[in-house]
Amino acid sequence: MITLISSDKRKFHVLEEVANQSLTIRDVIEDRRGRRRADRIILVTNINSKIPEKVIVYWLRHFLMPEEIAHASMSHKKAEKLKKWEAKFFDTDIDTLNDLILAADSLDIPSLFDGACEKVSDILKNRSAEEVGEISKIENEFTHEEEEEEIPSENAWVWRNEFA
Amino acid sequence: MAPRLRKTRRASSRKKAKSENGCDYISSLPEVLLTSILSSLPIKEAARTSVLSSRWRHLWKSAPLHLDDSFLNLDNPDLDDSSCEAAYNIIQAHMGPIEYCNLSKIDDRDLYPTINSILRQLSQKKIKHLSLSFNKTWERMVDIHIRVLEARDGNILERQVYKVRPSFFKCKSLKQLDLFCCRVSKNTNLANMLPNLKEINLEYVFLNDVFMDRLFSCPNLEKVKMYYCCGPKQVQIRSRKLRELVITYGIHFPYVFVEEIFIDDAPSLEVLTIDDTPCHFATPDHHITNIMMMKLKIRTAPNLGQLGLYCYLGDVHFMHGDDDCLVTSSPSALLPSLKALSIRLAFCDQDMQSVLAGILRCSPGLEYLHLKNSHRRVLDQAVLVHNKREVLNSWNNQHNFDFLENLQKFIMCDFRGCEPEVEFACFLIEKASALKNINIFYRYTCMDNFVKKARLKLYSTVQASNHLLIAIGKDVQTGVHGMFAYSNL
Repeated sequence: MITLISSDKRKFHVLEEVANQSLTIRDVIEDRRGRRRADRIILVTNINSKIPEKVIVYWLRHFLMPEEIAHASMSHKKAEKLKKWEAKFFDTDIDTLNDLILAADSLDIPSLFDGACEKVSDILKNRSAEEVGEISKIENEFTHEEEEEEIPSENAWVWRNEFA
Repeated sequence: MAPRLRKTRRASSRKKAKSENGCDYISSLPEVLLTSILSSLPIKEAARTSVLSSRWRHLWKSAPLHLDDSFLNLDNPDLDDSSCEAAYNIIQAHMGPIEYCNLSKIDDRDLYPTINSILRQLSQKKIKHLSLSFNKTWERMVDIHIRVLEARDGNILERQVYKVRPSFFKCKSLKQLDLFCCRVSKNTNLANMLPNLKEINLEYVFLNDVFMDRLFSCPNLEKVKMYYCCGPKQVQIRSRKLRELVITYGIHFPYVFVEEIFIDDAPSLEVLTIDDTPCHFATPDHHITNIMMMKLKIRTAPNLGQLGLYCYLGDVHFMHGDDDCLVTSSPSALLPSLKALSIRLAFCDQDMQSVLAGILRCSPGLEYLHLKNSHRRVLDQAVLVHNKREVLNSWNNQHNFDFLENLQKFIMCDFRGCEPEVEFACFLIEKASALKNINIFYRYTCMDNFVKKARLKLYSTVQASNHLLIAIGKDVQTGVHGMFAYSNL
């Protein structure tokens, strides 16, 4: 059992085998192997407490069904189930997804990282630039000339069908 | 003045939205993470983000590029030229690295210079996976094949088929290459060709011996798949890392025929599949007058685990040093690593049966045997005429060997209910002591009677002490390539 401490000092107790899905944590545990129990506490300071909860839920689900098995011999039904579960898991607002991406990156959990990135890009998909700007609240500081002429002409192929 | 006013209005409305709904979370992510989000968007939408803000303006150009030209002109699928031009613009604007590029909508000859420049750009920008297919129908390709062969139209290759420039094969970053309907230059004689290439798929490509020789000397090559490629008559394989080799050629086409495959030195080779099944548009069976036998020679392949033979083989040769010995004559274990064998067999073809017997004798470790009945009767008859020999009807009398002690699973597809088939199954039941499963599939309901007889015969052969499961069932799935589709049964 290892303990994760988030930035707001909450503690999370996780089985080592479960937390091993994070390559970062695995490396830390590997480094500290053979030392005392106090060293089984890992600070995850750049992450607030809402996210570890989600990450641990994700770990547990995937721990029950490791990826290797998932690919080789998992039945179609089970794969479908996992897919559904993941779709539900990632179905949150874009801010949570952002935090998940950050957490997955710093803890090095490739499958979670890819899943969250894909979900964000799904949200941005099939939307006009303005909608994207509004969803992700990006401040537009282009001058009018830039916005209306320069940038569209820079990548004419992107806009061709829209303006035709 | 007017445009200025409009700008402030728009900008302020956007700013207002911002202050109402909280802060810009997504831009707080570091650039590396943003680029990985962008790289999973279709390229067109990724590039659109350039209007969001000045930070986003050039961001898409540094995200690893996955370019698929079928996504470029979704609204206007007919505009082939423009999608090629667009691809060129994207590649030129992008800063690299380029992960994947698929160009599949090129047909017009006028575009070939553009392709040349695209390839040049790609190899400068560290392309990893290139898929290049020219929009030709297979029928058209076969027509070109025939004209080239008959030398009716000497310049047709020049005019109709794109030639990949030799300089492209110097690309150091390329890991996977798929080519469809094009040709390679005879001057592709590079000392260090594609040093990082792992996988290559060639389909309807006009090849030549020089290129093949260079290809197999690529130091990191692991997978080679060739489908109906024209050119090399003899393929000699010498490759340290090659793991999988698939060669498909049409028995109908003398011009895509490979006469000899020689596994000279392939210490890592695990999977070998040879297939002569004609593609779907091929000439009808009655046009076949002359069947050629392919020659398979194996010298060093210590890790060969899966062997798929869906072709007419005269014989399989194993080389011991310089000695050439036929698989049918030498009883020693030469393929100890072979675990799975999948073979297409006509029970009237004695040559092929002796090949099967020979391979069984040479591979004591065999665990899985998959037999696909050849159902191209006309072809089989042609083979029969070619062989000028009697139909073999008893395995027991002809082949005495007891090397089947590891065989666990036997699967026969396209069962026709004829006697030699049943006899072969009985032969296996008697000889293979570890056999656990027999699965037999037939295709047509009209064979129910034959199947009933066969079932009786098989059950009577099984001794009570054997733990053997026999399943006979109707199945429509006959894909040649589904060699291991049944392995989960």
